[in-house]
Amino acid sequence: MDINVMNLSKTYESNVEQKKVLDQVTFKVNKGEWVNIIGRSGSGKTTLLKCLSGIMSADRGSIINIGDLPIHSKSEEDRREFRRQHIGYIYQDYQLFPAYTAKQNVMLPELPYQNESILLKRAEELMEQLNIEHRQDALPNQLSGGEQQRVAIARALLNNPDIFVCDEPTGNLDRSTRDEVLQILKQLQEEGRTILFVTHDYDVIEYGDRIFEMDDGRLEEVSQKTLIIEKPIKN
Amino acid sequence: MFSLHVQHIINNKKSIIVMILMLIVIFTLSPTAFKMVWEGHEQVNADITDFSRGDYDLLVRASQSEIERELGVVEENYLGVGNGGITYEQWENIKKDPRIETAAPVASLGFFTKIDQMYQLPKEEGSNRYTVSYKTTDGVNTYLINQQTAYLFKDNEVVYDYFYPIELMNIFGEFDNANFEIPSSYHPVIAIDPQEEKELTGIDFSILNKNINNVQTFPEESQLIPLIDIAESSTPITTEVLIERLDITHQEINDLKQAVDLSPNQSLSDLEYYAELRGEHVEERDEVKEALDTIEETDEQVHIINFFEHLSPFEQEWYMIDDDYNIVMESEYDIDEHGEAGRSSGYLSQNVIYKSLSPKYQKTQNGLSIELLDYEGEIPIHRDLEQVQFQEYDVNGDNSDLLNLFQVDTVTVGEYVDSLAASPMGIYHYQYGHLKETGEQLKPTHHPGSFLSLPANGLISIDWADEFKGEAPIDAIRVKVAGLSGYTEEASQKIQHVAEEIEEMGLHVDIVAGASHQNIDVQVEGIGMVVMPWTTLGAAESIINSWNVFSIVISISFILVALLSFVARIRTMEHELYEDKIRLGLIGWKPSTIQTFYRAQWGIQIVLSVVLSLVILLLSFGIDILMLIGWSITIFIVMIIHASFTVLYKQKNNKTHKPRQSFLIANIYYYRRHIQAASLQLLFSTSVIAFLLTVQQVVSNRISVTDLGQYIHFQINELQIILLLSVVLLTVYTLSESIYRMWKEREEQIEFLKVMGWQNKDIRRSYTKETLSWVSPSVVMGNIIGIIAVVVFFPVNLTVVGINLIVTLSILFALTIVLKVGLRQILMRGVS
Ligand SMILES: Nc1ncnc2c1ncn2[C@@H]1O[C@H](COP(=O)(O)OP(=O)(O)OP(=O)(O)O)[C@@H](O)[C@H]1O
Ligand SMILES: [Mg+2]
Repeated sequence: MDINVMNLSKTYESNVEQKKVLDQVTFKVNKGEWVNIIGRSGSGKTTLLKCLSGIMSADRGSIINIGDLPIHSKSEEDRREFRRQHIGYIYQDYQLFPAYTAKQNVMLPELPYQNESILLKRAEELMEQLNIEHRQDALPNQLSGGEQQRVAIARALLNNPDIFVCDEPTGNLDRSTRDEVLQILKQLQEEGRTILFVTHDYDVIEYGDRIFEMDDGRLEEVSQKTLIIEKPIKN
Repeated sequence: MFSLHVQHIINNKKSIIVMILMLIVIFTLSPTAFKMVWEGHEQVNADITDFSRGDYDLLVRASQSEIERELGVVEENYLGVGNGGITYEQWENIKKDPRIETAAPVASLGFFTKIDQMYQLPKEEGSNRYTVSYKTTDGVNTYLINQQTAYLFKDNEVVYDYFYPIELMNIFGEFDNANFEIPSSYHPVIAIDPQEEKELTGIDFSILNKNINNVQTFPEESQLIPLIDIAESSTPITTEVLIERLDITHQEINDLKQAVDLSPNQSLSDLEYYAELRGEHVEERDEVKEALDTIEETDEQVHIINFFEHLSPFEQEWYMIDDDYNIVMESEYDIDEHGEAGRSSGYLSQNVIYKSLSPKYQKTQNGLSIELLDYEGEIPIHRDLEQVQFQEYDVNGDNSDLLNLFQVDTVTVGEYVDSLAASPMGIYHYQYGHLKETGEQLKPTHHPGSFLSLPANGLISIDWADEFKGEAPIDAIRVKVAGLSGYTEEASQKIQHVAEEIEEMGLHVDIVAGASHQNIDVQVEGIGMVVMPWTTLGAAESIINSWNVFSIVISISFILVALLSFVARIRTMEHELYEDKIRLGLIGWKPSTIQTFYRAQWGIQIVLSVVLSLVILLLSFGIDILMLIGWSITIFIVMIIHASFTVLYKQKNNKTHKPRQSFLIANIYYYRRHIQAASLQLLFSTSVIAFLLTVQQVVSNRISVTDLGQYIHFQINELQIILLLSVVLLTVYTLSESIYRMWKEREEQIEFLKVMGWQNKDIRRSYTKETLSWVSPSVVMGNIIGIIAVVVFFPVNLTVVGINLIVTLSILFALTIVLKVGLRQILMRGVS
């Protein structure tokens, strides 16, 4: 599924002020591409991902097409349904449910919609695929950061999504664990999935096909070279 | 340090305000409840003292009836059977006990029939057909007792022939007037002791001891028993006289005679005589009857004569009916004024007493039933009658033993009825009850077979009772214990004592103090469902007891729920402060300093709420030692709980969680900290609600329907409502705070469920299911506990369980609705 975004703006409104976080963002991502998004803290990267995947609604006039679907004009329910079927979302802080075991966390996205025994099988498969089957009955607080993130990836994979949205998923991981996770994602890309990857980490950039930089609400594509030579990533 | 405290208070103002408010509620409500329960108890005692000591304290009888033993209540008509069983000697023994002020015996003799009396109707012009109907009523239905049709034929105002039913032989045509006879009526006569009865009722009955002689109506040699007529007693019989003018000539009557082979000198009535007494000429008689019955009337008049409203059943004076069909006593009759009339006449026939046996009660699912035995005329009969011939008139022999009742006086008990009704089982006045469906009041018909009993119509001296009933004629003795001023604990003990000693004489004793009416549903065949006010014995005691149960249950549950709310509250607070404390540790505070800081914080809150609650208490109640004691105890308990809790909390803070197979159990187990207090509180409050509602239900069958019980019940209810309300409010508060905290803690999770694509309805369903899965066991368990608690005290029937089920379901339903609404809100706006 390719992603086609035009004039995406997002203004946060509070009683006190209006804050334009995204300003006429326009870009295109092809199916199977790995796109990295970089930018200063607070520049709007997370907001972009949320608007894109329909978690937040964008301002009027924004156009977001994923595949054939105009996300911007869909209802909240339709967007959730779409997300559940086509988007896997991973966060820096894993977002695992502390009461559930690793396996239960993996089953969670489809719990209201599918038979538990089918889900159980699928979860076991995924965990095996991600090499964490031995930890399937552990609780999140008994898992290492890398293990937790792999559980989170397995959970995102439950529905075999077309698009992977990753909001700094390696931010909390040490180098070698990070590389393991990146390898996994690389493999997922090779299987044909589109990957949107927000990061501060430069080594990650090697894995991507293209780089966008978010700056003051605007998104611009930058070449890998320019970035490395002229604009070292600031944290 | 001071500014730090202020800063901390400002930062945590919400939770500190809640804590202080809750403490104020606990500190003011616990002593208030304590005081209210205390005073409520005294109130009830006072009520019993005022209301329930009736005219006597003990009811002594030979034995209990079976239905009474089974139900624990006494039927209104308990005296109707009158089997006796107590001897004069036993009565004397009881009477002479110095601790006993009054021992008033009662011996029911049964029903005497009224002295038979004829009455004469005024002369009417021409030939007439007289149709006289006697009717009785049970207050709802009217029944025909008897109807007689008779003919008087005149020519130039001279009677030339009659036709009348055989019962009117020798009666109907005397003095050329139409004469009839009043139908039998039955009148309960009860023997009492004039002395003791006066002490009990204040009514002077001394005339019953008088010797009467020389009354001409009675056979000279017989004994006369003085009798007092009770003015209020009336016999429900009405007499309706229909007089139809017939335009028929002497010749036509003669033609009719000829047709049935009677000579003109013979009377048409002769045929009735032959037919009824000899069985001859029956066809002719019927022919005549039909011919007469079908004569068209040319004019008619109807008169209602209420003999029994005017006249006492034992009256020996004759009465007359004037030209306007009004009753006038013979002594007052003036021919010029009232018209020419013959007086009525009568003769004695009181050698027979009727005793009505007890109705045949049958226990049914929701009360009792009485079987219909028979009809007499149209009147339903529910009790068997026993005819007792207690003497016989010997035409040739000595009749000096013959007994005759002779009315010497009439007494009006009306003004005493109220006080007598307050101690049920009076003999002067009964409460009969009503039809359940329509509420129409019922009363006994004139017939002793009625399922309701007539009150005493006449009183005689107990000295005569053995003449009618033999050896042990006394049915009951009403005993008043000396030297009591009301129904107090002490009085109760004294009464108990006397009762036990009388019981040792082999008699059955009921403590009447506090007795009151209780409605019993009785299905009376042929009548319908009747609500009858029977009498509970010793109700005062059971009211006090049940009241105690009420207050104990309510106060215990209030205290439990209040303390649980408090515990839940400090738990939440400690949890909120936990991270604060860690942070203070990180910036270098010593643990002892941190502890001192938070103790001071707690101290501020406690002092504030103590002062405020004291102000509230003093303003509302003034200086009240009782309340101040309750208040101090409450503060002490709260301090202890807080102290022990802060110690315990530290040890418990390491959260342990084990993997769980089920998603539901995993959550409940993981978030149990939020759930525990709330579900316990829910358990307590539902069990209290279930208990109270059920008790209400049970008690309304046992005590509260009693005249006395209802009054008390109402009083307690206000107390219950206040306490119950606070129990419910505290529970609702803890419940909503707990659920709120728990959802707040999982806010991020809920958001992430949305990110994963869960629809709101699925999130709602999952969380509702989870919450209900711990809320419903609490509610269900609470209700079960409530019912079990009730079973300990009262007998429980299916209705009660049904009501309980409905209560359980309604609580669950209400909770579900609230949960759904709350979740909808949260999903729209997020937890805030
Ligand atoms: N719900 C919100 N309401 C108002 N302002 C918000 C909201 N969420 C984010 N912002 C603001 O919008 C801006 C962009 O936030 P965003 O989270 O998209 O930044 P980011 O690029 O992801 O930063 P980081 O690298 O730190 O994650 C920030 O200034 C943030 O304060
Ligand atoms: Mg971000």
